[in-house]
Amino acid sequence: MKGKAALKTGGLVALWIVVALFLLFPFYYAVVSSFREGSAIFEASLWPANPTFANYEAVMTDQPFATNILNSLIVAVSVVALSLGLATFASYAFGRAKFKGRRLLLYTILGVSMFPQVAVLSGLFEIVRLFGLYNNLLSLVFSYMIFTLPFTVWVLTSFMRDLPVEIEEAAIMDGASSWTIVTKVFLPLLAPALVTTGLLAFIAAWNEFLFALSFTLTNEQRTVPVAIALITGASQYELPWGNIMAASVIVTVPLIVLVLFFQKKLVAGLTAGAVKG
Amino acid sequence: MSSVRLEGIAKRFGSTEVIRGVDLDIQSGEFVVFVGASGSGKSTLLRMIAGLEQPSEGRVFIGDSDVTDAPPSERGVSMVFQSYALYPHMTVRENIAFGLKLKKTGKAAMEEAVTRVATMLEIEALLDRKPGQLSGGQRQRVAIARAIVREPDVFLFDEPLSNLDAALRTRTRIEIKDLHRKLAATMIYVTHDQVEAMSLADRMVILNGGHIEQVGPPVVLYHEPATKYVAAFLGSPTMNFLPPSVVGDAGGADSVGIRPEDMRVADSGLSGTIEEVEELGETRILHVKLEGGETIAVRDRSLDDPKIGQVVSVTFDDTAIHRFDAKGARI
Repeated sequence: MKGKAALKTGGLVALWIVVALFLLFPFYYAVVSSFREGSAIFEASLWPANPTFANYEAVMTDQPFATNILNSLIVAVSVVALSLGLATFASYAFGRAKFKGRRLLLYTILGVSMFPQVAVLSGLFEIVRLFGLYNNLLSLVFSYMIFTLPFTVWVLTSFMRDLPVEIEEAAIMDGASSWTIVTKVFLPLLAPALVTTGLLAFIAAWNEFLFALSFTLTNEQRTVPVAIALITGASQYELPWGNIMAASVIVTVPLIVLVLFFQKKLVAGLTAGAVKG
Repeated sequence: MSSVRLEGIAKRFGSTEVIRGVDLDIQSGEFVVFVGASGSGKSTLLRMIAGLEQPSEGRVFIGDSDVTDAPPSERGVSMVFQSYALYPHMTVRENIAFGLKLKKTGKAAMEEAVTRVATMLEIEALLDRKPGQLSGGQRQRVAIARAIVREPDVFLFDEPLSNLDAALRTRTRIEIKDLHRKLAATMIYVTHDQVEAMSLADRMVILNGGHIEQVGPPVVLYHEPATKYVAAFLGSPTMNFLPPSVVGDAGGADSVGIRPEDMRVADSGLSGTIEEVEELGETRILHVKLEGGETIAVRDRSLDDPKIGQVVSVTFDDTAIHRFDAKGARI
């Protein structure tokens, strides 16, 4: 019996290793490549022979990459803050108040997220032009909420619905206004859900490419995904893989740090609400 | 401390009528218990006094003012909920102080008020804990403390003991009674437990299907039930109902009721067979099937060793008879 159990554990561990390798190898290879220079990048080895930071230096000096990172940060943080703020109050209405057309409105919001980005691109472009936001980070903040708001509203609504009604009524008896109930009572209880949805919104905004490419013109207004895609080599026939890899590593690290930082809350958020506890 | 008056209260949810035509006067400082089966509308009635529910018809008065359209926080009432409804992310201290904070009470006054109620309910040691770290009984005390601290005119309790175990329930019941005496406040209490209701109430309000069956002190309701429903609702085991033919003077009654404790085994009387024996220690309940076909409960421990199937005679005094007409009203 003991041998069988050990075999089972061993098998599981082996499976995990295979899955981990499959998931992590591309990223590992990107990191390794980012430390290679020149033709060394085409060597198919698992370890750089002469590790160098030259690619990183080149990325930061050849183009305004620091500005691009700052742009991405501004856009992503604004999108997260606006989405969570709007979604919290929307979900209070959807989860708590009874009004006509609630269902219809909820499904309309979901419907918005069903269109592929390219379908709304030209329409959005007109709106962006109308408001004079072309080549402005605000256009990105505005357009990203098209895909972040639907899921933040939906997730928070289901969490909001699961909060006990009696707690809300207790707060009403204590003299709390709707504003106070949402901000002082519900918001702290929703923290895990906010962290989860906020993180997902951040990642979506951070990695978005199509809108960022279409609504910005100059290098100074670009976000990192576009900036990376537009990195050019010495000639038009050369793709500077080393620089691209270095840039990719730079922009992925913040995400990893964020996820690790919020790890505990994230797991709580993903499972909480699934089972009544 | 305030009186509460309900005038012609009705409540409909869609086409379902939950409360109809309820009039009730509650004196200042009185302990009134709403009792009834589930669906009788007792909680809805309480919630309308609290302001959490709006009556479809009628007016609610607290003291001299019409509060029908006033929000809960302006009615001078506070409520203890069945699930305690504490704020899980706040400490006990913050929970108790939350209402005061919203009223912009000064820090010193707030601290003093919290300490005072915490001492009263013996929860000083728990002030810095979160609700999740408390037992059910402790949470209940915090919920009561939160209700008291605002010094309301009227306290509302919505089945506050139903989540506690039996021993704790009995103890907390006494404490609530004690609290009522200390605060001399008007209290309205909802329960489905008739023992709880009888033990606590100055006056009981028995609700049935959204209307009031009878209002009065527990003893009066028990001994002089106005309707057959009230007679059957109070007392355990429930009152025995028999056809009028079993009593000498039926007085035109449609049915007669005799409580199990008013019946006893005797040498002559109604004859029947013992079907079940419940030994409860301080008493014993015999379930007897009469020759007429009715099964009655008899509270009697005079028999040495009652056997199932044994034939016995059961008798009762004429003064113990409750007579009801065809509509169920007392004669």
